[in-house]
Amino acid sequence: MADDSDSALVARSRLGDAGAFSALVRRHLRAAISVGLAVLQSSADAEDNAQDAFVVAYQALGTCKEPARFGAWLLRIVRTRALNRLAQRKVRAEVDVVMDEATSSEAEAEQLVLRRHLMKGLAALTQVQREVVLLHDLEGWAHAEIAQALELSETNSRQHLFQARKALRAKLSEAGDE
Amino acid sequence: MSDERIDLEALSAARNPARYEALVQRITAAAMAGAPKETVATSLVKWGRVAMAGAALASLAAWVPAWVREEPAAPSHLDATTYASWAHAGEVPSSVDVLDLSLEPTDVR
Repeated sequence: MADDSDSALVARSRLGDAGAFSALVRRHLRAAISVGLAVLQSSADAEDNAQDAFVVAYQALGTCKEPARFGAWLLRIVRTRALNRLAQRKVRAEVDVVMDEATSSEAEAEQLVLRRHLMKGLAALTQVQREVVLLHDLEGWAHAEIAQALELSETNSRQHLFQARKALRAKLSEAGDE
Repeated sequence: MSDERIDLEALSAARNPARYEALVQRITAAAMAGAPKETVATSLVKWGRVAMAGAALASLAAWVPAWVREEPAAPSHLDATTYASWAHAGEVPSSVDVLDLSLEPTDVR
């Protein structure tokens, strides 16, 4: 059975194995988009940013010193590129993107409304709070993993999560009352 | 309570599996198109080309000096025919004629 660890996939990707790189993308894309979303606050921009980051990561695979920690290495690229995008003011308005999406059912329409509320709630948080809450509550990462990827202490990660949840619940509660 | 997980699944990039897979394929294709990686075969071809170019340069470096060097003078049969004519006529060449003949370029091969 083929070794599908990050180390093995990185090694095969370095030799031009598209299947191996595709497996890395499939495994880490969610987190890459979540971190991009935390910075850019736009799903469409977060996806574009994730694509750019993976292309850059592929070109720079030879510089990935710890292939076993590919995820953390990738997220640093994602964050840097997202911050650059933000600085260049190429961010689309999330509300416009949400409204552009086709809605074919009432359930989908409800999902879109929920997404708008969540995005508004996340906008009230700091960037690092958004990153922590998205990686923990959406991606299911442990504090140890988040701390490693975001270069925080585990204690800091827990504190950011606590504050993020508190603020987010308050915002969602306000939205529900409207 | 702030220690309970908040349901953020509506924001998940993977909420639509087909779209997520399409995104994975698009990103993989973009990466492959952006920077073709070196395989063992392409590596061998590349280094083979470098080796060929090196060999060609070495050959050129060896040839050029000989090529640009002046060609030796064409073999002259003047001395032989002159000697023959002198012998045939029974003439004794003057010292000037002998000196002229000795200064003529001779075939070194």
